[in-house]
Amino acid sequence: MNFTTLVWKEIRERPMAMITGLLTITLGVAALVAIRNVAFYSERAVARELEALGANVLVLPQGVTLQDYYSADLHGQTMPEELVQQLAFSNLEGVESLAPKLCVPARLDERGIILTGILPQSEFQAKAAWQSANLFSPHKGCKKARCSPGDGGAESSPTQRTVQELYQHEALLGADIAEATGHKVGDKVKLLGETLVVSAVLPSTGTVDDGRVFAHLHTVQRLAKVGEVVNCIEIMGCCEDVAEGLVQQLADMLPGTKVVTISQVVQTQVSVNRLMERLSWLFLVILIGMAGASIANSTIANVRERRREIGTLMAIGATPHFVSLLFLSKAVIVGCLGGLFGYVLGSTVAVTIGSQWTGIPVTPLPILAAVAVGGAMLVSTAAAWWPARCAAALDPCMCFQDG
Amino acid sequence: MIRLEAVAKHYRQEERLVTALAPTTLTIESGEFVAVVGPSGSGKSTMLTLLGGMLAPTEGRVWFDDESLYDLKVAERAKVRRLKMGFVFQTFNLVPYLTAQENVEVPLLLRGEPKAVQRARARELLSLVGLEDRASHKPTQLSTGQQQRVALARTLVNDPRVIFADEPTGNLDPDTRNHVLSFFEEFHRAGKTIVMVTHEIQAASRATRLLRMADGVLRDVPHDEASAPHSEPRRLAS
Ligand SMILES: Nc1ncnc2c1ncn2[C@@H]1O[C@H](COP(=O)(O)OP(=O)(O)OP(=O)(O)O)[C@@H](O)[C@H]1O
Ligand SMILES: [Mg+2]
Repeated sequence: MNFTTLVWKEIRERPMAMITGLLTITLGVAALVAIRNVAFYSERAVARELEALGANVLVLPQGVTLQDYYSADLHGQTMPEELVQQLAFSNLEGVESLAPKLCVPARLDERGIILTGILPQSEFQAKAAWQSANLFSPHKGCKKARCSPGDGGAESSPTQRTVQELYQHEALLGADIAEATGHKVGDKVKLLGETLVVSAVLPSTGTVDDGRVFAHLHTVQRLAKVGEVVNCIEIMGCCEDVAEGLVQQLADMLPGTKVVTISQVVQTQVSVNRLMERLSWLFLVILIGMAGASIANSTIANVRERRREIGTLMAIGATPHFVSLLFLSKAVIVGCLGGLFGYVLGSTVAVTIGSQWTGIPVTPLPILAAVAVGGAMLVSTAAAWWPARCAAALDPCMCFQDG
Repeated sequence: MIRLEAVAKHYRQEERLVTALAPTTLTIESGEFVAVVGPSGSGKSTMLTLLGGMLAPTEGRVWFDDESLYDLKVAERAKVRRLKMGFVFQTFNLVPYLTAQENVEVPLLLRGEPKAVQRARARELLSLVGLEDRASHKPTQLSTGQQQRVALARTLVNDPRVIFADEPTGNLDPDTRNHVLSFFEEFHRAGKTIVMVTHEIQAASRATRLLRMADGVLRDVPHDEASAPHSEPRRLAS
């Protein structure tokens, strides 16, 4: 026989004694796991939606609505390009990238297209290098619901993202337009009377960008003869900052413009996420309080009913350490089982009910299993600590007393 | 080998001090078979637990093999019990959720013996007490006599040098009582020490030394006095 056998046999002998503790832990963990699991996918869904929208904050000329922008960014109204410089030097926390755009109608091989002028990322970096480190790098507070998971890069969508390098004589072709016109990298194309070299064909993104041609902002400004203006500035901001006043700061900084946040589109989901976040804290407190009390209680009862056994073991030569280990191991087992059951139950609830309620596909998160089991074991062991010490301090002579 | 040096034990009961053991000095030599008799409440169990290192005295010292038991740390005292002492209880005190075999293995587990050794030794001891066919029975599936035999096997499995027994035959039928007592005699013949608290004249008569306890005061009883038919008609304790 070994120590584990001793612990297991006792548990099997009196399974009811640990049922309440196990149940409380299981339910508490299940609630936590379910919430965290759904929240994870919900946050990801928000992030993905925002990413699909590209920027999450837009600076538009006064009088242009979000609807105008979405129906076509060819609304014709402009604002000075120097706003972009102003933003770049502003050192505003939470701004991850800036993308000014100017869209003008043009023709390519007798085909009506939209020529979009963009600024390559390298120009910002060059300017911002001596000025600030905040811009374009997510700051410390921005870890949750980052609006741009991963680094992104030029390969997704040039207007939504940023293009690292783009020279004044170059053009980028959307996937659809490249296919329709048959142009390849290195081809020369004539746009608004000037010949540009196709430096890249962009991979298909499934958005309007596939049907567009991109060129350097300053080239487009020169060819369209509109002066140093842009139609809009797309800003990728850290979601939390966007939610917490970045928009207002931008509006204050750029009078005469309209600053709108695209996250309004996903506002309900963001607030649901926040609710879930708070709920999970609440459940954590409940789990620790209730499960801890329940485990402590059942351990105290267990110590009481096993006084004679403890006395006997001590008479035979068990050390106090051995005795307290008997009870702590039991708590570890209860915590482990509770965490495991809770994880299974919570994940099941998240995958079935959770995904139904939120309309987001949810799959179990294995990392939560480790957290659930570890956390539950910790709570349960901590709760059993004091009763176990009491057991160790019992007098062995009580096994001589009848009863 | 065991010495009580001016040892006394008082209990406090609602402002009143109860003397369970008056200051006592006593030496028990290695190889003695001592019976302790006395009326109920006279302090016999108290003395036994003091000797066994399980109850700290109010005054005095308890020496075991030149070690002052209660000057040792709790864990060290547990080690002395584990390696040198064996206990037999009136109520057997088997662990209820373990089989007979496992109950006998517990002291070996506490000593850190490997599983195979535990199993072999426990089997050996169970067959010594005639219970090899009951190895997988739980205590509740055993008769009282069988339970005490399992308890005896558990005590002997460690090969202790001293056995402390508190009314070991109090709950037993005559057959098992004899069985247990002959084990004690055999243990004694092997040169080991036994301190046995008992109410029964028959059990006490097997001992080589008789101590009588009355109101916490202990005194030696010469053997002829103990066995005189008129002084103690049926029971030594009355
Ligand atoms: N834990 C305790 N607290 C207070 N008093 C106690 C305690 N244990 C024993 N006593 C008292 O000490 C005295 C001696 O008790 P003890 O159990 O040693 O007697 P005993 O001789 O073994 O009796 P019995 O033959 O009935 O087993 C009794 O008066 C008892 O009430
Ligand atoms: Mg007693």
